[in-house]
Amino acid sequence: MRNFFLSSITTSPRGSRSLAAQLGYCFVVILVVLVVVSMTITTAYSAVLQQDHTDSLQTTAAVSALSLSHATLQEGMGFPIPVSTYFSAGDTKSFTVNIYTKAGNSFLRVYTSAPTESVTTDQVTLDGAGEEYRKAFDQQEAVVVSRSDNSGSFVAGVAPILGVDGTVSGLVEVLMPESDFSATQNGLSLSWIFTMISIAVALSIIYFEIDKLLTTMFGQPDRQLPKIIRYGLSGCQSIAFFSSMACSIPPLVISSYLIAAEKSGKLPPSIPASAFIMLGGFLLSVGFFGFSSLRRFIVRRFTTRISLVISIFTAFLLLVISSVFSNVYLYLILLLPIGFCLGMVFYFQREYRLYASRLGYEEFSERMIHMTQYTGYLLGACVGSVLAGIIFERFGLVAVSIICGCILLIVGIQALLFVQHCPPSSGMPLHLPNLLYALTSRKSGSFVWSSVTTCGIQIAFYFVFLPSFLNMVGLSLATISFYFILFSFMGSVVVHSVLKLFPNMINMQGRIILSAILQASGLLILAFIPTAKVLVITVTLMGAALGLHEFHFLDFYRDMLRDDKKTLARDILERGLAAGVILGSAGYGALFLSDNIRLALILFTVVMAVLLFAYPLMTLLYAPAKPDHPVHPDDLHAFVHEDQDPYADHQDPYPYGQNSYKPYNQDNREGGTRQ
Amino acid sequence: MSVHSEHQIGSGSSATVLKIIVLALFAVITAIVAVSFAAHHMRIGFEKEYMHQVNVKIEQLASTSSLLISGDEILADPAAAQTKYASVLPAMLIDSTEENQSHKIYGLYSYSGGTLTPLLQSSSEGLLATQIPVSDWLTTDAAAYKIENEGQVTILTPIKDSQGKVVALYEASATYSFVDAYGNAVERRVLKSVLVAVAAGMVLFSLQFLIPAIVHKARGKGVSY
Repeated sequence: MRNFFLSSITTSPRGSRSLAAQLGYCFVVILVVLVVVSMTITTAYSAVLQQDHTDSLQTTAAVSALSLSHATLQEGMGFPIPVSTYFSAGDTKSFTVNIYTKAGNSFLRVYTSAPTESVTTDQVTLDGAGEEYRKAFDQQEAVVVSRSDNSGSFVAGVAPILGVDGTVSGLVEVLMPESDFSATQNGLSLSWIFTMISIAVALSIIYFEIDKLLTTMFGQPDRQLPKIIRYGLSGCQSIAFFSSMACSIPPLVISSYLIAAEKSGKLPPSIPASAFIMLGGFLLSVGFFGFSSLRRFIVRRFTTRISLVISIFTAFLLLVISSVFSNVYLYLILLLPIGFCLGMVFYFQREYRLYASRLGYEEFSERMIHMTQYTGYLLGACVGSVLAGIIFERFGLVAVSIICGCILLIVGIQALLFVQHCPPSSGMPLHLPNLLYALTSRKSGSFVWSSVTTCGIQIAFYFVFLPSFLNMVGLSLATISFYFILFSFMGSVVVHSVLKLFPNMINMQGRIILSAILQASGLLILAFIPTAKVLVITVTLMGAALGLHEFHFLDFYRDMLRDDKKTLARDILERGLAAGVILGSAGYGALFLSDNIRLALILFTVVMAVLLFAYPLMTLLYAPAKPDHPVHPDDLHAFVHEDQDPYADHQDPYPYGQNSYKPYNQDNREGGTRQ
Repeated sequence: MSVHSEHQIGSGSSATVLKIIVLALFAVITAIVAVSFAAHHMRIGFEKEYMHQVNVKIEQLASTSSLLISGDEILADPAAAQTKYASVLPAMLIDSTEENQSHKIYGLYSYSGGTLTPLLQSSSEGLLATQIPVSDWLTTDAAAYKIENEGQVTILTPIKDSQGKVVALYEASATYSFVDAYGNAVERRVLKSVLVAVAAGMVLFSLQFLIPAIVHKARGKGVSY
């Protein structure tokens, strides 16, 4: 025992044990500090609110007593003035007024404003009254006391009523339930507790990522590997994390900024703030996901890394300009170029993914890199949302822009350090007729609309709909991080674990149908009950739905296309996703133009359901006759070439997501070997 | 070819020290920013709630107490009305400055020929009725007129005589300017406590690294346990 104790204090934690201790400590300390601070402030302000309730009870009792001066107090009398109301915990309620006359050693009630169904016809004497009532009667002063009876605990303002002869003829009692007296709207509510947990989680995540960044930076790269992958997947994930963190901040603060601008009279009163929010979200998403030809041109003109650095500096500059001048119109106009520059950060990572995956290292397959980046994106968005909420609410838009710009600079440094060589991707550009042809194809086109475009629309759900919705229900912008964390947890932990445990459980078509059902039902529930609590269910379902695909879409889609069109598959899906985000930002933004959010959401859900179920319905309507024997790849090849439509017309020849189809299930981080 | 590369931290202690400094600074700054946000967020929420509560209270008081003021009395004999309400209004709008953070002030004015004449004013400061254009509060329905300034809410209630003609104006106002100073004091106190707590927390956390180092050093010098 002594040896164990000694060894415990003589050995300091090292490696991952040390990091785990630091993270745990960071999380616990931040959470405890936040809870203690919240409780302290709640106690301090509760006292102020209760003092005001006391004042209200005393004054209302005095006014009521004066209104009854010289009146005859008897059974069946009325109350000469309207019964006053009070505000408690977000609701306005009526006081209960009772009038008593002295009856021996007690007081007999002659009037009550309580609802008739709760009033007995029997004579009521004052129960639970203390010495204060007698004091109020005898010494003719208004007092505030607590009392309890069989109907509950109350705080009461009591004042004496003067009779005709100038003596006290009775008492008026103004009651408020004890629960209302001590209730507050802003204390430790459920949403605030979740927000505090999210803040603690997010700050622990960023601590972990900074630790990882420093470890990678100071570590020795494997110089035997090509320059682009020398720092391994951790470098790639670190870039994804910080870029997502930076890029998620500007869209999230749009609604808060524009609503604040409307309150301060910076927006024309004839146009609702929601119209500006919709425009802002639309411009940013067009900038972020659009202009792919321009991006391609810039990257080829300046090289990938230089164009990234130029974009980062431009974004920094534009962010600062848009916030410093505090002009709403300038802010809205600049959202488009800011979106473009931020989109370049993600375009850089796309180029990285394509080039690194072509080097032929098994650990750096495109899907593996994409999944690593996706993890970084999710974690970055969780932290970015917390930062957006905290910094905007506490320090304003200028601080948000500067911090966002600083994070972008970190991304630039990481890109220069970790990605020392990244030539632009080559490939034939996707022309509009080709894209339209692909999107209008019966099955492959409906697949793009159903599975990929709807993913884009759901991205808009998180970055356009959620901030506005939380503003609408009166929650802090920082609370959005809770929904992001929930989404990430469902998609990347729960669903991922289930799919790992039961790899043969569901094929790709099944996943698409299940995803459609989950998304549609999530939206439908929210449409019927649009509250922050129900949003938890919606986000949980959506997280599960969007975690199902596991980045198999590209492979699945490629197999639908004729060989000569397969090279366009990636571009088509990217455009489909971009179209989804742009349409989604306009659609979700437009929901708030309506006064009836419920109806607007129901209509939107119907449209989404049509999109989501288009592909499953197409597969049902045009299902090819099942062959008696398993489809051989050679047969499939022949089948494809028989078809005249290059963007159609067979899918799911392989059971995607099942072990029998190796190309999509051979990701194995262990023992990476060059293919 | 394996691509598993262990990115070990450089053996140089300068890298380790730099990493510790960066992480510690980051932890302190983020903790303070997070707490500052939380304190500010809660403070703003409570201040809004308090102001709403005071607004409802003063609206109700103005509404009920104005019913007890007789327009006919003021019209018939303003001097007698002045004497009467000088004793009645303080009894209704109790304001003990020792206990209440929000103070109530009030005024009673007679109105004729487009001019307000003060009959009674509980304070020489903060009453606004004479500064507001008559057209603002004298509407056809003679409804109460609300003015919200920074730290103060004022309700102007027209008083009618039995003929339905507006003959007086009753002003009831609540000030809550203390809220700002109170919030600043609470926030400052909380931040100071957090700074101390975070510093103490870091010292405590570093003990797990310091104690083994001290023990090793002591063992090296031949100290026996």
